[in-house]
Amino acid sequence: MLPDTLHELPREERFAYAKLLAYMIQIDDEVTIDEMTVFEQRLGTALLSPGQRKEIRTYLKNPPTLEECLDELGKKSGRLALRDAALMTAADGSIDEKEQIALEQIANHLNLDEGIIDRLLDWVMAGFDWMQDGLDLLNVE
Amino acid sequence: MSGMLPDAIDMLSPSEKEVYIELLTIVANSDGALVREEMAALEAFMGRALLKPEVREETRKKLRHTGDLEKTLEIATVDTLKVALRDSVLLAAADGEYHPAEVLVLERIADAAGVGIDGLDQLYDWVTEGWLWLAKGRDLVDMGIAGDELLTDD
Repeated sequence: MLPDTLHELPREERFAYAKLLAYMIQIDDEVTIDEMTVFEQRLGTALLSPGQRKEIRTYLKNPPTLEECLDELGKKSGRLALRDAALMTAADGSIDEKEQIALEQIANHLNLDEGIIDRLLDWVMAGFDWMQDGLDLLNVE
Repeated sequence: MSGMLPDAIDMLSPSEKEVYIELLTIVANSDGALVREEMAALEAFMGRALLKPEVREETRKKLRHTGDLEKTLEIATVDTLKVALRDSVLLAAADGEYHPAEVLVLERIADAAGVGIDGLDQLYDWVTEGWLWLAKGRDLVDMGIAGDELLTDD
C-alpha cells in the first residue's frame, strides 16, 4: 500500500491512530495473521519510533477502552484510523458484530453518516481486487 | 467477502524476505535522497513482511550504505525478484515521481525477474490505479489532498 498522508501528522496523532488500530484488532478476541499483517504495515506507515511500537503492541494484550482511544484522536487521525480500521478488520474476510459496532461508534464519534462503513468496506474490496491484479501481472500466486 | 491475502510476500522464506527488503532499500537509495514518503513506504513493507525487529533495525542501519545491486540480484530467487519488483515500483512512486535513477534500477530488477518492458509498464499503470484507489479512500473520509481531484475526476 502506498504511504498516504498519515506520516505527515504530528507524532501524538500517529500514536493515537495506531492505538485505535490496536484496540480494533483484538476486539473479537481473535487476531488473525491477515489482520496482523495489515496492522504491522500500518504501524510502519505511521513511522512510529521503536519504543512507541513496543508500547502499541502492549495494547494487544492489555487493550485500552474505545473511549480512551477516541479521546486522544484528532479529526485527521480519527478519519484515517476509521478508514484503516475498516481495511484491517476486513482483511481476514469477515467483519463480525463487535467489529461492525465499533466501526459505527468511531464513525459516530467523527460525525460521519451511518452509510460510511458500507462505503468503506466497498472501497476495501476494491483494494483487494487491486492487490490481486498486481499478483496476476507477475504471475505470482 | 474474500480475504485480502495471503500475499506473495508470505510465501517467501525469512532469508528471501531479507533479500527482498535489501532490493527495496537499493531502489529507495538509488536517487541519492531518501524522503519521508519513501521511508514510510519502506517501513510499511517491512511491517507487511512481518520482519523480525532485529532485521528491521539492521535494514535501517544499512539505508545509507546499501548493498550491491548485481550481487543481490544474483542471490535472489525469481519469486523474490517479482515481489520485490512490484513493491519497488510502489516504493519509487511514493514521493510522487519516478526518478531516472530509480527507473534504471527497476528495469534491471525487471530484467533479472524475466519481466519485459511491457510488463513493467503494466506495473506502472497498476501503481497509478493504486493511487486512484487510495485517493477514493481519502475522499470517503473527507481527507482529500491536493491533486486527488486529478485522479478521481472521471
